[in-house]
Amino acid sequence: MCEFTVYVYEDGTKDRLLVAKNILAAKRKDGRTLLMDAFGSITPVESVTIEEVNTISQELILKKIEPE
Amino acid sequence: MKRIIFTGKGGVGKTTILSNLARLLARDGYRVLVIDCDPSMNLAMSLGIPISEVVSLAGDKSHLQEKLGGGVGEHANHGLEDTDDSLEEFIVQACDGVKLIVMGTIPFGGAGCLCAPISLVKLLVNYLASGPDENDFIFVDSQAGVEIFGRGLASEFDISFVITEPTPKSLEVAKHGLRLAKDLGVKRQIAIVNKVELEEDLSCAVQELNLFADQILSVGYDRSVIEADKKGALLLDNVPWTSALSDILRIKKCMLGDV
Repeated sequence: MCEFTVYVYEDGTKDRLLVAKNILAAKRKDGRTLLMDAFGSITPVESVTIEEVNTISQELILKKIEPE
Repeated sequence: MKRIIFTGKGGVGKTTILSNLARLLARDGYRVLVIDCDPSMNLAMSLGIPISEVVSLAGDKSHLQEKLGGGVGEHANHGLEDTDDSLEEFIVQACDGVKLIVMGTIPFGGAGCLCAPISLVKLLVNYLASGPDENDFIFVDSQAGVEIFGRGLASEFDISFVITEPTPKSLEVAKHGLRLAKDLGVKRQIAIVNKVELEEDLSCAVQELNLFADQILSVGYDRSVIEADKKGALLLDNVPWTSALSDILRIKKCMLGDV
């Protein structure tokens, strides 16, 4: 289904942290990544970049970056 | 509040059984909210509401997004405090006090999948389940087949009603549905064998489903159901004495006994 569970990888590690579930849309704005669910609720995530979007596994993977 | 999903192969009678069961429960004084998750959108008509009077969640997506938080990046960290007000606009009062929400359909060829509206229904059901106890039952009428289980909508629901005809193809879909519902942690699996004409057909169906269902019930073939459908009439209002309704009453009693 076109709905993502979002994880973030800590830089240099293989450990991933669950950030949000049921996410439909993501957008970079003002140095943050904004994740939106079907209710329109926004989860902002600081200092990450979108690493992978995968509708097969229904995962959206974020990667930590240096703060802008 | 109990969350209950109705699934099965196309044309087996999901919507007919659901709509009558919902009305019978409402007549007993239970507060029933039904959500039509089938893009065919027949549930409204089965509850006596012209589809033209329905504002669907999918059909009014932009309005809903505006109400519930806007597009990505427009409003950060929106809460759910306005959700109840927004929801009222999508609830239609149907026969006997049953409340109806319609997910919606595909508005034009190439419009894309229904993932976003189904995701919205999933959040909505979770929201209603975790909020004030305003409903005794939430019924979800799913689209035909088993895909809805892949979407996780019915996760940890209280009951999965899998409706089937006593035919090999329909029973295969039913068995698959029962397995998937179990995977999702649905607490109780009830198979309903619908349109049963012969006792031996029911016996064969029971043999097929026995390993997968916690309970197997049946509704006999009833010409009144087809006649009412042809006229666009509601079974419960037009032929309340009919045998199919007696069987649905039995389903209600079993359901309440187990809930």
